[in-house]
Amino acid sequence: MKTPHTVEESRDAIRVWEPHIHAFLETFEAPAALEGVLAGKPIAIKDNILTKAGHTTAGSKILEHFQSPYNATVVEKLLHAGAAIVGKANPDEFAMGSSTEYSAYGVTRNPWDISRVAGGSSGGSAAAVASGEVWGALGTDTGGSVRHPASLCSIVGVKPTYGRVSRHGLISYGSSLDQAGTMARTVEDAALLLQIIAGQDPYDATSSPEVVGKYVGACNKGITGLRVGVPEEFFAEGMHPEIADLVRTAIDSLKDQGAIIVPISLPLTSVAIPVYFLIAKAEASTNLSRYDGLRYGKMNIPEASLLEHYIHTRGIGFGPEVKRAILMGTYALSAGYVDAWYKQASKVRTLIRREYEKAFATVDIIAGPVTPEPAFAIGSKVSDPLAMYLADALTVPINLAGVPAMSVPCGFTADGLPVGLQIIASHFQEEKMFSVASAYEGMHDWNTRFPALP
Amino acid sequence: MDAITPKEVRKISALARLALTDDEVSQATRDLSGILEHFSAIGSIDTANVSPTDDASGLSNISREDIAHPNTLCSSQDILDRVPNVRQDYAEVPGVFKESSVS
Repeated sequence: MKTPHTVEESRDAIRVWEPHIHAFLETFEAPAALEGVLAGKPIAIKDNILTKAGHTTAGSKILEHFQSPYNATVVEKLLHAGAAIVGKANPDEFAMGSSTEYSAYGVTRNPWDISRVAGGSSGGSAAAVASGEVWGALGTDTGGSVRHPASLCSIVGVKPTYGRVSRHGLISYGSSLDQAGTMARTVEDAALLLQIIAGQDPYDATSSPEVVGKYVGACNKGITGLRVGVPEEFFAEGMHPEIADLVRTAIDSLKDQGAIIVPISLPLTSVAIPVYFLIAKAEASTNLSRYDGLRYGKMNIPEASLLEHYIHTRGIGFGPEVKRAILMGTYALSAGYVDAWYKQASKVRTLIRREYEKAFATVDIIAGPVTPEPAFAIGSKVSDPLAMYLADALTVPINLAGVPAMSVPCGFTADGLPVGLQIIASHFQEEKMFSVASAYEGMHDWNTRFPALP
Repeated sequence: MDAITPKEVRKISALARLALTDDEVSQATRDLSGILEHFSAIGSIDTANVSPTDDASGLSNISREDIAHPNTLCSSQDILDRVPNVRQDYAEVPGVFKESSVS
């Protein structure tokens, strides 16, 4: 087992691993570029990111036949750097979910234990990196979809500041929350990928003109005197005790590198789930109104009126969680309910953003767990939507605040399931985040461990 | 906040142009009621004089030159190659303006 650096090594790993984990919806014969920072490095792209090669389904039946005529900006940037795009990774349908069980094309299994989920929604991307099928991957993170599967699969996953990376060519879920993120086996590789995809894009008016940092340079920079805040609310009731222990031990070890550990409080953590899901589903219900069966590929609908055509196409094209999202979002935005639900959620979001701003006035970094529990058994949450939502309790506040965060491997439970440490920074302070992640990584060998082929 | 009813689910699904089976209506009624009961916790948070986060980026009046960039252009052929039904270099879709027919 090792990280593949060429298309050939990637192809060999995909051949042996793919029957066990189903990380990919489609793989390509990628031409191996010889030049560029990434020169031929095999990369997986989550299937809700547009690629000219192959299909882009977002894990949905409604896009089963859709082929994009253009590449997302992040894909263009990777290709320009010489990356070999080897395939499209399995997501939850329209990136809604925390397990890939909501993909219309089957579940991705966790390489560390194939009876368990790889996390989500970028589960295919995470499993492909963890198994050594690819060198790196892109995911998207609306409420934790990069960090959650990264944590469950023992890889590094980065959610940049909102606006740091172009959203042009990402299939929209919650437009005020969505960001593309990078996934790799090491902090430095994930930093390099972000270095390549970051920056303002004329095709995304919400992408920031802020100067792109030196992310690779920030690795191994040292963290002496850096103040790391630990919110007690991140260890509240419901936290798996082994995760709490591993994460506290990891944070404590940062002292050996000169960091100062400070207890802090983020009291609104407990309401982040309702605030996030109301906003995300409201935005999703409007974003998904474009799927009408006339555009984006073929749906076989019997002859009917135009209205019946829309209703029927959407009824058979969307899966259960997406239907739930559309219903919940439409409800939260509908006359008579919008003030109590959507607008109230958006106001509490402002309070959550202020809470993070206040915390970052006294600390450089916030650290805690990524997930309340390790990889769960396939099927255990799929029919209980609220239980699935709660898997994101500690990742969604970060998207609401718009700040950057990442998951770094910090050990394994007694059952051998991976656990991630979440490192959060203030707006556009990705460099500090990478310095801390790299300092932690340097003290351990978690990233040299590979799952055994089942 | 009152629990959501099947009638409300049908009303919302009509607004959202979404066909639901009777079973799906029952399931959605149960799911949404349970979820919204949990979510009603936000109702007790004091948000008087708090503005909503209507803008996540803090940017305004962002514009770009309206010029085509060769590396991002797709030809009409690029697009037609990806259309399921093509007739005489046009994408063929069900009729929109014909009364009660989309074939």
